[in-house]
Amino acid sequence: MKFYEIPENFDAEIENYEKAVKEFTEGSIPKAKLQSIRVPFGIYEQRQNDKYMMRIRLPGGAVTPDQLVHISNIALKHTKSPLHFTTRQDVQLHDLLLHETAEIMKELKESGLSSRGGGGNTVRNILGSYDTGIDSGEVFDISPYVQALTTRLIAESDSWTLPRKLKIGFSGSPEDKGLATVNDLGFIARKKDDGKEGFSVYIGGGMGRKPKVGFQLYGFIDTDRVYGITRAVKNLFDKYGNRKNKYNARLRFLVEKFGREKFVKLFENEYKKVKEIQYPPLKIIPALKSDTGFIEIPLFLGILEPGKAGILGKIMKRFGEDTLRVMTNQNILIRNIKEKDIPDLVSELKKGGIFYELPHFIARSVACAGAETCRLGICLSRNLLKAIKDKLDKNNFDYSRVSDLSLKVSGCSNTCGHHILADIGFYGIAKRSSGRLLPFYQFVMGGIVHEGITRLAETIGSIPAKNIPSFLHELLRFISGSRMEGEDFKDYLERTGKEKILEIFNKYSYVPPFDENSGFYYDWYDDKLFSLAERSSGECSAGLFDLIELDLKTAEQNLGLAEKAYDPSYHRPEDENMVKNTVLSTCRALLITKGFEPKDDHEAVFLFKEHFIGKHLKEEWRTVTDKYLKNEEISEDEAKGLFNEVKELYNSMDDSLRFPELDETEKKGTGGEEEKDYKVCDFRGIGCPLNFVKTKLVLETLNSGDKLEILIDDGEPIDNVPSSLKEEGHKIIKRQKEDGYWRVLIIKGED
Amino acid sequence: MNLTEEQIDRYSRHIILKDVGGKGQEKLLNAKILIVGAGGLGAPAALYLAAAGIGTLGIADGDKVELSNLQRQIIHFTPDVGISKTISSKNKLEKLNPDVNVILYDERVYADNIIDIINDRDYDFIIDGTDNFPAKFLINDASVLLKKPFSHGGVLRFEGQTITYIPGNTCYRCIFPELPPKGAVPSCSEAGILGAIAGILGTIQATEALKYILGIGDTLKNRMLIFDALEMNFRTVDIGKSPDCPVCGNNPTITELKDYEQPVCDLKKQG
Repeated sequence: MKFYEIPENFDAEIENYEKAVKEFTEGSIPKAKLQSIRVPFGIYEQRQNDKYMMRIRLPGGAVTPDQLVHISNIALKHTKSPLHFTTRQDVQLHDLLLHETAEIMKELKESGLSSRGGGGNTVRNILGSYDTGIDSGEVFDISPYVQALTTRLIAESDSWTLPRKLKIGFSGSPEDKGLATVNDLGFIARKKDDGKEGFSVYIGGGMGRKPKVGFQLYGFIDTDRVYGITRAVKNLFDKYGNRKNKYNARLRFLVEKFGREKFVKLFENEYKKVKEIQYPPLKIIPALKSDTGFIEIPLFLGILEPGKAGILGKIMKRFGEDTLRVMTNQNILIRNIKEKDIPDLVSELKKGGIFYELPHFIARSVACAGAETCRLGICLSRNLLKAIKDKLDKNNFDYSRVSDLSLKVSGCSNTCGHHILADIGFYGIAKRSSGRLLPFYQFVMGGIVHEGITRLAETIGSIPAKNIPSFLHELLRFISGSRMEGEDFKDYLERTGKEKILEIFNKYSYVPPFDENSGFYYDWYDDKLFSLAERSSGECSAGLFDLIELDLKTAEQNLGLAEKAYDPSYHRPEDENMVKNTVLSTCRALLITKGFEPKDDHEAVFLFKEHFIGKHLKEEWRTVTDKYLKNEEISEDEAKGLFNEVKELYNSMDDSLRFPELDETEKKGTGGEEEKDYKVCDFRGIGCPLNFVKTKLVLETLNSGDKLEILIDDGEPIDNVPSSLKEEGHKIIKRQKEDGYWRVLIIKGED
Repeated sequence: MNLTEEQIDRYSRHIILKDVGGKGQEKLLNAKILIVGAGGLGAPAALYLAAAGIGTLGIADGDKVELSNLQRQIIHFTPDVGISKTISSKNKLEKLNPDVNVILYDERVYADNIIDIINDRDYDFIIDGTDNFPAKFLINDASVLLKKPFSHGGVLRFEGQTITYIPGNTCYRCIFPELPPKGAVPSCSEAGILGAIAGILGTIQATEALKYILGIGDTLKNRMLIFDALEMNFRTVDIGKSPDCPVCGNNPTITELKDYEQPVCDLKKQG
């Protein structure tokens, strides 16, 4: 039995991959080229150079006992590291060697498994309610659709070349355990009054850096429209998706760009075209009637030793093929067994060291891999969860009153730990204190997933990583004591409000200076000072943006410009000179884009002076940095001026973290508003490529060396026109973002 | 000359090209090209040149549209059967691009009219889209004598050949000094052609004309392009100017034009 069919051309694809690996090893293709081929196969380089992770596709978390045994054997052969079951219901092999990855793919294929689409801009593993088929409250079993759609999509080559990843989820009931309302595209089983089965359809949801709840596209569709709708979404995404900026590329950004109404219209256009083509229907293999017995095997941190996975597979073979599902909380659900078999099975699993008693709260807690192996990770999320467990266990915490609460931790803002859906969640960020970086988390609370009322958790504030276990201990004790018997957490929050929680939280947000307690500057169970230095810029820019924005926000707060309340985590008793601190944060903000991590305040301002003033910022600002370095009085206006300049510079940064450079006259620093001695042409409202054509025609009337300023729209125009002009030999000396458009200053090149 | 908004839009894909730009487009709009023969080669050439915005397009042809032409002469449509090829062409070209001034010469070219036709608008470039050797030699000789560049083209079955004459360089007679002897040209039964072959060659001729007007790239000057579409094999053969060429050599024997006899089979319907 298999839960999806691997397409015929997959052997050829593996061969191509193998060839690319060989070419890379021989040095004939660069690393970046291999990366672009490797990642769509679900193979990522880990934080440790030359170690690789492979993510294997399990639709709806379904894996047969035979397949699990097979995975276990492969893992034992190629890596000693544990398997990691993920929140996307797939399974990851870690610490692999690059040159063995193609062989592993071939081995996986033998049992009908593949890592294709485990990463990159592809159709990712399709989620499904983990208890579909055995949940008495569900509308119908959605597994056949998850599996049939997987088989279809992985056979379509355009599933691997999308503008960004496309995530799909199916739920068997409005409880939405397949996370349909927070995926790019989601289907929730629904039955009409006359008994006709179908789905409600959600679109534009997603987690990641800017999470969003999807909106309802259809209240009801017949089951035979699942593929057509998916096909149309793929076409729509492919056609309009932003391939340039991967941080604004997910489907939900198209909803944002066009507005819901136009987005739906565009979708309908695509859907109409799809209907005309008459694709063959999905091959739906009806689900068999299942036994209702189940056991949830808690996997702390989603980890299982390969040997134990093999034992689990061998045991489960006796009970049937459709008996295992990976859950979105990183546990494994044993399902489809007879109730009477449960006690014996549990004791057998215990004997195999697979099943052990864990408090429900801990067993269902989630942490992504975090900075331990992931290149995007900022904090060691798994270690935090361990620290929390240690703290609670050591204090003999009574878990009974919080067993229904969910705790989820992500190592960065990319929601892999699903913190945004949790009752209590944390995600890793970096902050600064005493001029040093330290591990922090944002604390979020009150996430709900349920059709119609799905709500993302609300951000409460930031807290040093080292304070979280103590904070959580106090918080959970408070909740245990103040929550009524059987009271839903949502109702509890509504009833009690957040004030008391904030009060507890604020006690733990303080960071001592480095000299006083350096422990805060290390992440959990780590012996190295916290740093972002090992992060390579290509794969981690999201974290960089957070850090830059943090500095700019700090500067703004110091200026008294912030609308939000003063963030207590910044309060240092010695911080009396707000103006000076504004200058410091302002100077430091952009240094990381050039790879600088200054050791102290003085160095930060010095580096800024050396690398930004006279190059990206006018000479006149040098007086401000000089005053800072000489410890002279700086006026508030000077600080504010510098801050605004830097903020503007940040806004004009391109995707490769580069800034526009000053032209010769600006470098000389005439000061004040300069007279425009060149022509300005307004090409706003003119699309691509006509805006470029018009610019070119004007340039033809000028002499080389002459300047021309054009006004063009944000989006495609600013992405395309300047680069096209550069290709023609003209120089772009300034790009300045205005409200919804850009000013681009050009120097005409040689004819 | 300033491009209108409509022209900027219409020719935007030209203007985007670094080698064309607004100035190049203006050259095209000011250019005058004569197409001799509105048949298999002339049809695609005329359509592309009109689309490109060639300001003046002369069409010389004395034939009427026949049903058997439609298999390859794509400027003519079924309802055009029976009307003159020049009128039929003009109708299409003006619809395609109103910027183009289409000049018609509803006659076959002969020694006694070709000079007048070329001089009528002082054409910058000539496209030989004819289907017979007398006309091809006539166009060559006239172009050499008037120092006009032209594109020679010929197609048969699945093959084609083309060379671009630029005054002072290899001409058609440098390669083929005299008309082929009787019997050397294909008989009627052998004179078939796959319609698309004419499209390939006519389009290459149009490209040569555009390059010449724009002054970009290398034309097929002093080299002949020969292709075989069955093998899909394209090659160019370098051919230098012949000092013994009867029309452009050191001691030319042809100093005025004359008409040649149409050999054996009337190939006009092949073109």
